[in-house]
Amino acid sequence: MTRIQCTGARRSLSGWAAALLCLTMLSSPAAGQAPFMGTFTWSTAMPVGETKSYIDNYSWLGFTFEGDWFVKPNVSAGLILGWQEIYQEDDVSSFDFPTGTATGRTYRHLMVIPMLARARYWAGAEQERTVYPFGGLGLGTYRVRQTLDFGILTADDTHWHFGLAPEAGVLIGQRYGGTAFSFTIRYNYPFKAGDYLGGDKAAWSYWGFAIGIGATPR
Amino acid sequence: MDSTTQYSSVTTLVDTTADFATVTRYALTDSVVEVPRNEDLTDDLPLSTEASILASIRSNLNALGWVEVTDARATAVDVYVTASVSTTTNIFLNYFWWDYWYWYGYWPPGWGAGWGYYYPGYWYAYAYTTGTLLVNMIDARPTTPYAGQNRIPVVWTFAVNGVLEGQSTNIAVATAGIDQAFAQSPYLRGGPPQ
Repeated sequence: MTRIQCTGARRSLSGWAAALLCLTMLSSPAAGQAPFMGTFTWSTAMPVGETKSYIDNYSWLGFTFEGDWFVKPNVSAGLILGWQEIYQEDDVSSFDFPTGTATGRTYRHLMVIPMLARARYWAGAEQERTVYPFGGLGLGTYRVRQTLDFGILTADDTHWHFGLAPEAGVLIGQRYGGTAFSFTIRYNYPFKAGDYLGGDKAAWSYWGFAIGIGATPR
Repeated sequence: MDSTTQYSSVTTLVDTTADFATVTRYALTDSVVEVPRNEDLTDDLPLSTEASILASIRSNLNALGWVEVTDARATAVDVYVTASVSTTTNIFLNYFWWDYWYWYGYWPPGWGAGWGYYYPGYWYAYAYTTGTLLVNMIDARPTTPYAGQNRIPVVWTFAVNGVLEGQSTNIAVATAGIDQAFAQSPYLRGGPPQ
């Protein structure tokens, strides 16, 4: 089943995320029996780049569901499904344009839904321990909705992005047959795409800082 | 809530070629027109709100150093200032204009039905929502670039959204918005636009 998924995944750009997952799973002859770890994280976000230009405000509202299959003791392949809110409200903001000025309450909002495949490398995982540093790379798509409320008016645009998400972190606890806590730093970079408010493409990048709890069935 | 945050938005537009530095006299209409009018010609806008809106506009115009002229046919003015409030959605700017022909008695001779209108920028396509206060400043001087073109030159205009959201807040919303409109238009004092 895994091989069929990989063949199909190579046909399109957005399928590269699935391909990444498949390649890592195929690297182990025991992929079908790979131990699984499910993780739920509370995800916060620090906007950077164009995201920061639009919303310069740290977000404490977000979460992810993540699943990882250990295809080798130090290699896992997984999936990420998340939801991240990034928003800012200003009582009074002014916008100047060539023939005038507009002033009013503004509410700027981005809703980001990352859907990524991920590969992780676990440092020093050949031995049983309670602290496991890891580094990884996510690859997949982001669904982003941009909203701008100005006064009593509102406008929004929603688009798909292909994107990358390099990450690093540490897992504390039992990787196999128990629970563990994770601390992850992930740079989410949805590539420039879309036709957002103002008529331009945008790359809504942000640093994600997440605390998670993982369960590994025995 | 701070008074400057009571309105939901204030938008000003200016004809960047207009000469405000030489304006000294203005005429202000004596009513705030509701658009569209009720079939029985009654007004929904409380008289106290209407009076406060006009007083606030007058106060800000006087603060520019301009002098009000109450009979624009007897004494020439440089600009006319009009005010209206929309009570329905999707009112377009040009719709506002024609209502004035029916009630304001001080337009220059010759202005009237059959004249076009000229607004700065892209206001032709601007749609208003319920409870928008719209104020227009019209250049009445014969030296205006649009003199002789059968155009009513609106050289400055602003809209305050949220004026009719609740009658108890009408006055505060309207006057705060009017103050903001003048505050964000320093070129009215004779400086360069923007």
